[in-house]
Amino acid sequence: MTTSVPPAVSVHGLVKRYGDVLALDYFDLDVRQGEIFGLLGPNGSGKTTAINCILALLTYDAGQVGVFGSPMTPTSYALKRRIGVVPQEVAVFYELTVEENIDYFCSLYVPDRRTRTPMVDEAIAFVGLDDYRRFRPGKLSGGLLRRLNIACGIAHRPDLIFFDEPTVAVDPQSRNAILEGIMTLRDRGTTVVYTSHYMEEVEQICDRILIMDHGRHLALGTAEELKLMIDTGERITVQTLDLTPATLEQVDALPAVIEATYDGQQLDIRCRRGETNLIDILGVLERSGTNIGHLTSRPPSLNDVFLELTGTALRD
Amino acid sequence: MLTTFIAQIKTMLHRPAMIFWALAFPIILATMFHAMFQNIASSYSIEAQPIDIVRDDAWDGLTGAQDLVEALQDADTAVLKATQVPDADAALADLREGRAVGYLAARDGELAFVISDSAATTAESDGAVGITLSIISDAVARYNDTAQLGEAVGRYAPEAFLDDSFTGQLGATAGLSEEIRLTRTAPDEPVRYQFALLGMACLMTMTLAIGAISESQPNLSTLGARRCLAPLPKWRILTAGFLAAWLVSACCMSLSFVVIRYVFGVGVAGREPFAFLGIGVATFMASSLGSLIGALPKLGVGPKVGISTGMTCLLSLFAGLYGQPAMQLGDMIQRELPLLADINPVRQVSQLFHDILYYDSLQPFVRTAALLAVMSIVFLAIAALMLRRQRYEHL
Repeated sequence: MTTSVPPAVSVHGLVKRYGDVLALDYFDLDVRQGEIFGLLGPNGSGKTTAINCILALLTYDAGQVGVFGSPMTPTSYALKRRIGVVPQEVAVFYELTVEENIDYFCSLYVPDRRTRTPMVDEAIAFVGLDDYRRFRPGKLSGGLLRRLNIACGIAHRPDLIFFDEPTVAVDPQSRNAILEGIMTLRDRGTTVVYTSHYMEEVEQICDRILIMDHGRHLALGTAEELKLMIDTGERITVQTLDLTPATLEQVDALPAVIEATYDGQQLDIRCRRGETNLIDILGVLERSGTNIGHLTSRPPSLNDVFLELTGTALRD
Repeated sequence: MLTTFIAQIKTMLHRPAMIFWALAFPIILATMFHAMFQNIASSYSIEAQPIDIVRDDAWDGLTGAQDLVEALQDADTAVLKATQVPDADAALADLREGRAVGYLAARDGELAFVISDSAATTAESDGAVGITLSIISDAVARYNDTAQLGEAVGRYAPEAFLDDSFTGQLGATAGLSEEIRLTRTAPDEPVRYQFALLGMACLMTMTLAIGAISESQPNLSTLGARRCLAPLPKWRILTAGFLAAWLVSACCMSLSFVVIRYVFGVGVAGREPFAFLGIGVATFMASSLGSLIGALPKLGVGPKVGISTGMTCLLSLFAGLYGQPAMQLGDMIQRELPLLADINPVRQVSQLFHDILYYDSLQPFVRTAALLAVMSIVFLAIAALMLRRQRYEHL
């Protein structure tokens, strides 16, 4: 006999309206326990609204939200105790020290001081703020502040943590430390819902990724699965100074080419999946006598997936 | 709830702007009032002046002159320090040397009061010297009037002296004004300013509650949203914030009161425990009003603090904080529109201290405290309704 493990988060048919604006349009989501789940979408796509509905910070017009198999409501205190949130903005008291802040936010979940103290120490060590215990947030750098923000959200050892763009405006070293920390949490069995605009981060740490736009679910899968869902199979870049418009037209006319652009120095070609794309393109260039400086070919990235699914039009 | 309470207190104590408005500003203002009124008060006080008494044969012939000097010297508020000299020349020498500002002597059967030129000049600029010398001068004139009347009666109707009621009335002061006191303590203008200031200081502490409540609202800050995600009822966080604001407010106002009471000497007729009790009630009302303003939806902390500061300054006007015209305006409202005066929290808080200081009975104090308690309940009820109705749609 097997016992099915309920999803950490399950959202079905979620509808949320702000007046005439439809923020969530029958949105569905399932996050498995123990995974890092990436939630991607352009600005205004409905990510924050979806998370706030899941956390019962917002009411919604239709649909169901469940956390660990139970309905989530504003008074689901037992469920809330298992959830941690790391908001995008640093949300701490600037008048309290690092240690006092972490202790305070932990105390909202763990009232007993004796139980809480080792948790606070562990959170401080986890984010590497041991040397800054007595510092007030105003004295910390941007990276340290982000780490404090994370510590305040994880100190009570939640089973499910929402990270909302935790690496905004931090240097590469801090970003790397934060990402490694999140993967460590996952390795300990914590479920993570991660939103970010940095595609390489999402690709690096997320087990599964959901791309959403206009309040709707667009695609879901691992990074590799998502790449297979789009038309782009390969991106070829050719450095050349003497490409003629006629040759560009010939390249663009090849069956495998989706789009070819030339800026006077570099020819960018987005191709469909195919075995002979490179040979076909090189053939056209050779026949036209185009001199080639440097040539690269790379498979599609998550960024390509994102742009192809959500479009290239500027958002808010 | 306890950790939220403690964290909230630490947070408030580390906010220089809040502490400035709640504590430093009232103390600075109280210091300014004290300096201002100290000069005014000293310029209208009575200071015993050095006066020579020319104790010659003529003086001894003046009935009651020595008694008058002793009365002026030994009264509760002495107006002169008498030095006996043998003759007028000695007195003039003392005047020249500055050892005396004037002298009393018997001249042509009357009492004469002579002051030096320098004393006359000083009296024009120094209110205390001027007032004291004019009192002595009035007493001398009254003595001479009575003596002349007695002499005239003796000359034309000596039988009148056989009537006891006449002789009793001859020396009586029925025609003069008599100081009586209706209140437990004599009214004092500086006290009114300092008590009005306490009213304003109390309302200034509203900002603490505004901060505490605003920071608990998810629609106003990420910090509020983060706190609302915690697995405990929102009212606990709000209550802890309110209690912390009340405690810090009460401490700030108590410190202001201690400075006014013990440094600047503004008394409360020995009823200090009631003053602290009043501070507890007053700051509870201020924290309640602060909670109400803090619960206003769609407004950030900055605008809310602005509203509270503007409200405090305006209400302080009707409590008479800004000078004589403001006091007259406040008194006029009290007479013509007593209900309006009753619902002015600044006036009621300052009234608490007036009640303690001036009334024999504590009933007025209890009445004012009860009024403030009712205000608190109304403010808290409205705040609770607003907080209860608020959803998180503004995230």
